[in-house]
Amino acid sequence: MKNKFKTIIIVIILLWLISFFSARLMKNFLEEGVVSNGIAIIPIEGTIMIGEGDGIFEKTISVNKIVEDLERANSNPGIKAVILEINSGGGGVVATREIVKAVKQVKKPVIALIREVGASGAYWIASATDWIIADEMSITGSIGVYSSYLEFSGLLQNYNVTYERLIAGEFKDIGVPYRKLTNEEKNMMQRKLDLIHELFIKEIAENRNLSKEKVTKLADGFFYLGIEAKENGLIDELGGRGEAIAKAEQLGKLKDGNVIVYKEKPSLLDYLNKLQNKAFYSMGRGIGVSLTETENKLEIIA
Amino acid sequence: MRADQLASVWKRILAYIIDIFIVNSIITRPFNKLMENAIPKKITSFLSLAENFDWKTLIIISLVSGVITILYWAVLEFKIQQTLGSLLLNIKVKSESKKLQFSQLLLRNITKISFVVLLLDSIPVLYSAKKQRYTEKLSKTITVENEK
Repeated sequence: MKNKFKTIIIVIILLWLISFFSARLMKNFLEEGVVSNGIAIIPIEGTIMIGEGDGIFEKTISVNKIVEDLERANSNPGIKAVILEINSGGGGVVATREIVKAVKQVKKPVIALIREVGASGAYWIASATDWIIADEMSITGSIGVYSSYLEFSGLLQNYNVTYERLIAGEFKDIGVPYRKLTNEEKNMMQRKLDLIHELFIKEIAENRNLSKEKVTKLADGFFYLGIEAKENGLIDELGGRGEAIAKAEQLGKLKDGNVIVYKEKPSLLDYLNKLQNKAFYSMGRGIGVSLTETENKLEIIA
Repeated sequence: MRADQLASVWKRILAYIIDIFIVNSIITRPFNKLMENAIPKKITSFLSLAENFDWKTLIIISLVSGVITILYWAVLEFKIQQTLGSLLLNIKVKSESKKLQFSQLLLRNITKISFVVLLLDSIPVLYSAKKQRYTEKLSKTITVENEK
């Protein structure tokens, strides 16, 4: 009986080991195929958010997805370098910083490739990489913070609607769109924005090895074209995907890298969004044309 | 020579439950994370369910873990004619004709790759004289009480 139990335990352990190593092997194979000399391209497209956005009117990207992709690339021994392909105007501050932290934890060369837009938070992420490439006409920079919103107290007054203020905590309803901010409240909000702005500047200066004074001058919130960003040191090189891959091969010390794009499979909702966007665009165009076009015709009216 | 007493259906069911618990909770546990990753974390709609499952991964994992599951039964029954479940319930596997071969055990356990297939395979147990599944008939094996 004892021998039988011993045999059973040995077989269970052996089979568990087979499962363990099979699962490890399959993990890399299924996700990226068997990779060697791999260059992972991780797209960052849309507004950067902590959670998943609704996606109905705006393309958003979740922090979790990007961080997971970075960890995947980092832990896959077949991946030698990472390219962040950025086409984003930024997003939430905390979301951005989580991605910046994840980028800095990658122990392989990371290159940022800015496509149409890589501004504000998206530029913050790019600055944390080892090399930034952008097209001459790419929009980047926009080193600033805003928290603007529409305030409706005037409109409500016109319709004889009042905002009944019931709060505990003097500043609890700060930012509510039904009343104007007081000067004190405006100053308080401004101080918060200034704090975040200072941190933004400090991190860009550190990441890009620029003086804080220089970055402060550039950090007026305005955007720069790629060609301007190259001149003022915000990016390293002008180019596109080809240049990014070449740089990844150089920094990753590889020849003829295998490019793997970490793309999310589109869901039915993504297809419906696309169709909807096309429909709305056509509607808008039609309305615009009918409002602006004039017809000149000769009429004889009796 | 006394004829072997056939193992009761309830003992066989209980032995299977014990064994499948061991297989799922220990042996094939390393595949759980891979399975999780193949299933979408956010289901935006039921229509997107089918599209967002990673079917390739699910099929491959199911096949590999299925083979390992079959090996649990086949290897143990070959070595000691019993698995942990059958040892605890005091039943064992026997060949109807010659000495028990590994190929017989692979055949008799092949339907354990899937619970649904095993269920269909087990229908004859309810009415056949020797309480054999289809694959047990094919492999010429039976499950009997383990006489001490």
